[in-house]
Amino acid sequence: MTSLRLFRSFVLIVSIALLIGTPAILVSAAPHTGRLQEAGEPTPGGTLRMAISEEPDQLDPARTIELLAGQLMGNVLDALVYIGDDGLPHGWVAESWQIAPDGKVITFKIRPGIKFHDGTPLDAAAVKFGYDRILDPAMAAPYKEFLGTLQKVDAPDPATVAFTFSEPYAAFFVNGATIGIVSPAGVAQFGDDFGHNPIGSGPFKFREWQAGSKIVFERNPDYVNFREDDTNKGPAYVEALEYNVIPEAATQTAAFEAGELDLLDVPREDLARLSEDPDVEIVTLEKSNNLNFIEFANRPPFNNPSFRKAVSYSIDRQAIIDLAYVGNATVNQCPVPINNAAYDEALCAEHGYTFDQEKAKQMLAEAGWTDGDGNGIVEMEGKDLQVTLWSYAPYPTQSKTIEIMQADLNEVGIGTDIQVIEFGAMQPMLESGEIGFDYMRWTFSDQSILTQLFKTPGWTKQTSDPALDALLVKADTTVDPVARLEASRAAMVYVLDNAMIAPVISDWIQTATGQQVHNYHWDALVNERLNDVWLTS
Amino acid sequence: MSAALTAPALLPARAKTRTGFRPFLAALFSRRQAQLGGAVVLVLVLAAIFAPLISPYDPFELRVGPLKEPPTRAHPFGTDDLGRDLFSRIVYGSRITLQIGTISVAVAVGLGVLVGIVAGFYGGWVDALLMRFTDVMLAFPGFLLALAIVAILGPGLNNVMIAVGLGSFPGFARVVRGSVLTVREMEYVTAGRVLGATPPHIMRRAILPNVLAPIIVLASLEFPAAVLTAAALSFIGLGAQPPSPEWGALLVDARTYIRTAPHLINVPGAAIFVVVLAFNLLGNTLRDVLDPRLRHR
Amino acid sequence: MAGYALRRVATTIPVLFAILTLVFLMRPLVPGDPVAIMFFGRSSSPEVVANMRHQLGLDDPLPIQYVRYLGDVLRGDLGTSITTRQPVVQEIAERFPATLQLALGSLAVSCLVGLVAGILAAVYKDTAIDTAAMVFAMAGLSMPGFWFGLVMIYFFSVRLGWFSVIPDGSLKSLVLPALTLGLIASSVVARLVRSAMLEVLGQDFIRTARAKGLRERRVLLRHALGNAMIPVVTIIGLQFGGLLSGAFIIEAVFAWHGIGELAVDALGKRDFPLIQGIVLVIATSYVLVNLLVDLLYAVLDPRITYS
Repeated sequence: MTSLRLFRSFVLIVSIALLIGTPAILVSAAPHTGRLQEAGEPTPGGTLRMAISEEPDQLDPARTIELLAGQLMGNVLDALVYIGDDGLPHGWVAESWQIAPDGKVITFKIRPGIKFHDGTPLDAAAVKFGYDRILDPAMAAPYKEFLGTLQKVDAPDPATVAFTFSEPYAAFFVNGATIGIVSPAGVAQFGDDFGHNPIGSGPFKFREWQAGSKIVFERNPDYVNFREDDTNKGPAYVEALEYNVIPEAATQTAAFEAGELDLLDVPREDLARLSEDPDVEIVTLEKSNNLNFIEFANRPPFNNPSFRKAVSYSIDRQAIIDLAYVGNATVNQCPVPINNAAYDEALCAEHGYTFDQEKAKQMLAEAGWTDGDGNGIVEMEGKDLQVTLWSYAPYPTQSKTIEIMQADLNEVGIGTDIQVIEFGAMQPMLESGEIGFDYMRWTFSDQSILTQLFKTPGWTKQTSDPALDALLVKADTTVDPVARLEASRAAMVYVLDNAMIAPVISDWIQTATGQQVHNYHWDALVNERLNDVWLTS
Repeated sequence: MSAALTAPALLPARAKTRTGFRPFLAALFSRRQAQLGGAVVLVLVLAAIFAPLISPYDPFELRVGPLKEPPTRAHPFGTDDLGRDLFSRIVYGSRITLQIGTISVAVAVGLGVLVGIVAGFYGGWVDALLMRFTDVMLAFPGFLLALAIVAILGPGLNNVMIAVGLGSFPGFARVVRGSVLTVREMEYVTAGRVLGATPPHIMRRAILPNVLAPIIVLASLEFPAAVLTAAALSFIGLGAQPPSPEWGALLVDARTYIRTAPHLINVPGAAIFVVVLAFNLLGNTLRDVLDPRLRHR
Repeated sequence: MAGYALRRVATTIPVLFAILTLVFLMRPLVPGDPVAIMFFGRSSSPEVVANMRHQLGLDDPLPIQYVRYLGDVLRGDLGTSITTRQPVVQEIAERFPATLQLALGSLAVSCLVGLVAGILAAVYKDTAIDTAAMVFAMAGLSMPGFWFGLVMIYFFSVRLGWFSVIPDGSLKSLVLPALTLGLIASSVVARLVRSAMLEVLGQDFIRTARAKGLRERRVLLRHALGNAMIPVVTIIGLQFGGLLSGAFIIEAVFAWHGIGELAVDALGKRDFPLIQGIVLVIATSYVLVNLLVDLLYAVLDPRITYS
């Protein structure tokens, strides 16, 4: 064993209170799910070949909110802090930080001597520059929302950056302080094209972007890794990272099997087969930041809590996992992902809804829907209940899931049609309420997922609940982590009691690695840590 | 990816010589290609009509057998990933295939005949305007056009059929116009005009029967193209909606099973292939038979 | 001849103009506000959204947007992609070589297969060879594209290991996609070659040639095929236009990074400037290729006189 470090996924707790003395709390450390480390010394060299199903839009934190872009930028850009396995922020580019007693100013000390790939220094002014770009209204940065109540950033000296907030912003460390730091000289040089020529201080330098086909990064030989959750404190082992754009999942699998890829985001359908292959190891992260749920529009019958509870009771979640996810997901009754600080299995079991067809029918009856004519479909005032459940294309798992749900809903008397549509076309229909209820998937790290989902007007503009808003604001502005967690859980219970969404499952993250790949793992926010990976030939 | 590949402009633009229906059928089915194609189409139609009698299971019922089971005696085409009987789904899917082909072609023919006849008969600026419009529509690749129309109308089988029909009408318009131009100058039409027959009357009685042959040929070739386009739209999630057993959707949903449960992709793939090929063979033979230049050799 | 050419070019201009207008109208017609979609899933402040809308010029009335659009296009400016912030012209230019390569490759395949199958079918008319050739030619056309493509990949790349799955830009990696797309397209050529050959073979000069005792192969290749080529050229032109754009699915399956893939991507992300740019470029090139073919046709075919 070269390292004792096993990959662990702890429940994430965001704390900006750590430095003002509140003890860190650990909540239910998850069993490790990752790949064991192999014996042997890491060997440098080689190219790590991966597939992505589409191009990222741009690798510029001030221009993108794409998950994929974030994943790739993580290779090039370092951030002020990272979130450790204990769920707390740890210094990265920042050596330390202080939080003002009122929680409205956070002052970071920047480590001296860090250089960007272009040789310019990463100092306080550079940090300020990056955040100012996102704050600048003229940039219309889509990420601006995640900076919350941040008002301004000051750099009084090269080693000090001060963030000033109008109200305490509890999610800042996860949502704000983990943003990659870009080279101001690089931005000046490339201008609008910086997103295609990113320059940071990370373990990999951007090498080339072949339009539409591949993106290549190369090792930064001068890299010093300040992260304690990585084993490799020096430059990355692999010479280069190669991301090949392969849109079709079946083609990705073919390329992996033909030995043209080292890593594969495994299609669920191929999991069983690939896990039997002795040359392949599947690395699984069960406690993911994924949440799959049914959400509802603000119109009858969907705005009736009893109807929503009936829906939640009628879903056979285990059958969905068995059939659509081929066993690779976990039933989740919480309105937050399983890898979330606010997740609480017992609490959600108490306030949530398990598969129970009798209770579903009871709820329908409470809402005024009964099957009087015996046709199997409930009706009100002689009119059969007929609804359409939506999801988005082209994801076979998604459509299989709603096919199973359709059968479940029909079983309790909710006459259900289903419809899939491209993701891009869903937005106006969600916001207009045309989509009555739909199966949705979110990936989100922080407790503030509840705010993102439900704070008036809600992400689909279908929520307006002052009582819930008050709970959410409390959670978002409470600096003390214990108190914040309590506030988030209060909001969570409110969401469950009113069945505002029907949580269904959290699907696992699974990557197939060829036998040549060693030490592949994620960090607590499910970012790949590729500077730890090494290859044998 | 289909509409652009047909060759409407090169179809015969001639009046159909008067022949009976029976000799026509005899001529058609004396050819091996037509026999092959005709037999498959017959099976397809019978399957669609008698689907409830033929299917051993409800095509929508989950878990009637084990999951992803290869073909067995109980499930001749195997079962799918939700444990549905694939044979029953294919049988019911034949209805949708027929529906897609028929309605898309009907939309294309309807619009194409209207535009083509009006343009050909009136000529002048009407003709110029309509034909330029047709040219513009032709300039949009069929699949892209269908994609755009479905994006506007929303996904779903009905909109797919409208989109495919709209995308392929220019071919019909051109062929019909060409035929009308030839027929228009023939003696009996001129005679009709002199005798005071109204334009709609002339169109219906004199011109329509004579442009029938090229329309039939083109329609028989457009039918399979429509089935393929609908399947292609399923590929990007714009086609038939689940749990519809439309063959293209079955094929698309099964694409990640190509190694683990190949029957799931090969059965619908083969079904589409056989039916489309049958229609193409039939259309090809129809063309030969209906084209007088080739028939008498 | 010059007069015909001029007239033919002149008729193209209103067509191009109409295409431009239709392309412009796509955005207001297709549901979904591009700016709202950019921020889909994030509760963005109205200020950020309004700013982006202003940057894209979406807050002006439609007629003004239209005039601006026309002016921009005439100056060769197709706008800026919403997602990548790159000029649309550049995005398309980067993908065009791949698409052109695939189109030329599959055109070669479809011509070769189409000619061979068509000639065989014509020469051995109404025999088993005729049927076999036509069935073979039509098999490609009848295959759902991505099924065909996936089967090709699994057989030739994974099982036999002859080709790499990920295209590396070499001529070799063009083989599978070009073969797949070319076979799909070959049926139309085969059908046309067959009927053109049949027509030519029945004509007097062929009988004369045969009567002169020329060898059959010489008759077929020199005399018959030469004359049959004229309509074939037309259809090849039409096909080329179709191939330039008709490869969405084949491109996706083979990870071939051409315009088709770009279009499907752009549509999924509702990147309207990019979608409009692609449709405009494809439709325009289709019209221009056909113009070229028509002019070529006039030059090639001595029987047609254009006064």
